[in-house]
Amino acid sequence: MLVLARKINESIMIGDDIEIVVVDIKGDQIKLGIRAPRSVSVHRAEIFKEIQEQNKKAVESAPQSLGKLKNLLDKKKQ
Amino acid sequence: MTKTGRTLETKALGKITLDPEQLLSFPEGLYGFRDFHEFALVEESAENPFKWLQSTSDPALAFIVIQPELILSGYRPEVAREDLQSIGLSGVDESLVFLIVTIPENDPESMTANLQGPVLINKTTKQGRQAISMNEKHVVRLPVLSQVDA
Repeated sequence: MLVLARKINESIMIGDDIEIVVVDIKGDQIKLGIRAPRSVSVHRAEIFKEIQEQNKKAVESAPQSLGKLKNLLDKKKQ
Repeated sequence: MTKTGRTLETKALGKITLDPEQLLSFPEGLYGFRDFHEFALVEESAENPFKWLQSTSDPALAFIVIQPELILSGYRPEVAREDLQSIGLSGVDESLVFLIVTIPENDPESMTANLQGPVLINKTTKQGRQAISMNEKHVVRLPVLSQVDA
């Protein structure tokens, strides 16, 4: 892993069109600004992990019948 | 072997006959399930809004999905262009959107839908992708029944 030291308002470039700026540092929290083309998706790493975990839960928990779920939804809509 | 008359072993419905129209290809799989590239959209009955997104290679791998408009209004995922382009879409409005539903064990009333990781489908090419919505209000676990107003 490449490790670089940066101060507030300094930035790094990834390729020639993605820029990451250190916007603020407070205690143990760093605020980053990210300039990237709209085609690039930028997410906190935890989000990927959370969606992965949720998918696994969704598969494990899926019951055998969808009929009961429909009934619950219908009852609520009445 | 021809594609017609292909059968599929499913998690919930046993062996079913597959209509090629039901098949969806997921070039990148789904999060946590990257190696599963083909799913079938399977209905238990035509009038049930919940459907199965069933893997064609592993009968045990099946997600319950629902179209967002059936449980809440005004949901529009905000996804990167890369998510759309990878399955040949130029806008989210062209896609068929499904939310993956999680059913807590023995407590189906607390079922949740994942608004942050919607499944987008290109209806023309039958390609699908799980995208990530960048809207912070699109939570991973939205309680489904509390959204539905009488």
